[in-house]
Amino acid sequence: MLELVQSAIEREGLCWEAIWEAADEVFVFGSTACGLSNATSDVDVLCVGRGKRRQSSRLELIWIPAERVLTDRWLGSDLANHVARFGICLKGTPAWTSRVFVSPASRALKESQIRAAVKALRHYFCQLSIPYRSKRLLLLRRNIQRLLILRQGGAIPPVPMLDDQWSRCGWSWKDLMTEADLERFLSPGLCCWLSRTTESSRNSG
Amino acid sequence: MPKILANIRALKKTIRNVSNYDPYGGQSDLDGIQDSIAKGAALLDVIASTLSSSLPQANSGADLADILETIPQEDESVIEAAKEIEGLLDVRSYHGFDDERDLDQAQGTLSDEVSTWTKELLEWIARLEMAMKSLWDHA
Repeated sequence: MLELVQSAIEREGLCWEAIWEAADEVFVFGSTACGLSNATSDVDVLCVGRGKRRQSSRLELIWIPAERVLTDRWLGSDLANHVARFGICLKGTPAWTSRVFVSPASRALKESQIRAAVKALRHYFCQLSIPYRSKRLLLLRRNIQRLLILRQGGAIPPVPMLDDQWSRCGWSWKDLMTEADLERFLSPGLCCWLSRTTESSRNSG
Repeated sequence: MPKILANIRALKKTIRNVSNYDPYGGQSDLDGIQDSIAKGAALLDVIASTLSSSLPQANSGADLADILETIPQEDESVIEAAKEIEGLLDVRSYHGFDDERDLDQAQGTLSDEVSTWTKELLEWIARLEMAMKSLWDHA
């Protein structure tokens, strides 16, 4: 795993030794940590310390200052919960991973993201061709699943696990929206589309 | 093409809204930023939808940059701009806008990261718009 992370960082032109040196703790998380990555997956890395964030299609490198890892804001965030549950620690002895919890703020953030995505989808729905409607719905469906998990106080799993859960659960979009209490945000046109595309989105998801 | 240019301008306007954030505006302003990010991501797919429907060789559902790559002799700068815009919007729409992380609480302003994100995104959108205009002029 260490070699994989090192190579992902060096591929981006970053100095692995400098990052390793600057970080008190280094974690790999996301689908790579769970052994579920594919050719298009990026490598997700969390470092505790001070450094520059890097985001590309192949690497997500996030830094969190050491003084923040014991704050409620961090401990209650979806990322802290995810890393604590699914991440692999490559360096350091983290004291915070056993203290995480899902905060109301992280649930509220996810809710507001979903409301914004539904609003945008309603606004642009007619201008999107079918494959792009499916793409937007796929992203929305995953985010609603994440919200439901957060509401239950759980850690959000990597995307392949979310998709696997969806394909097994046998829910329709209507079930999902009802469960998340989001039905009122849908327009009649979008509702109609969702009821027709349940099966295709399940197959493509 | 005029429809695409209109949508690129709409995208620019949407992202500009992020800079108009009022730190004292409360929840409605925070929701406004979240809306702008989600709208921007959807608008990019609207642009890709329009373009892919007019190009028989394009794979409908593909990212904008992949569609632009199917145009023979397409200018590299258009593809690069599309890739950068997609990358910047994807990341931000995935993470959303978090008032704790994305605001500089002491200054009451957007954090450097969000300011840089907005600035870079607007620069890439302007480049895409120019490149698309030039394509239109030469068509």
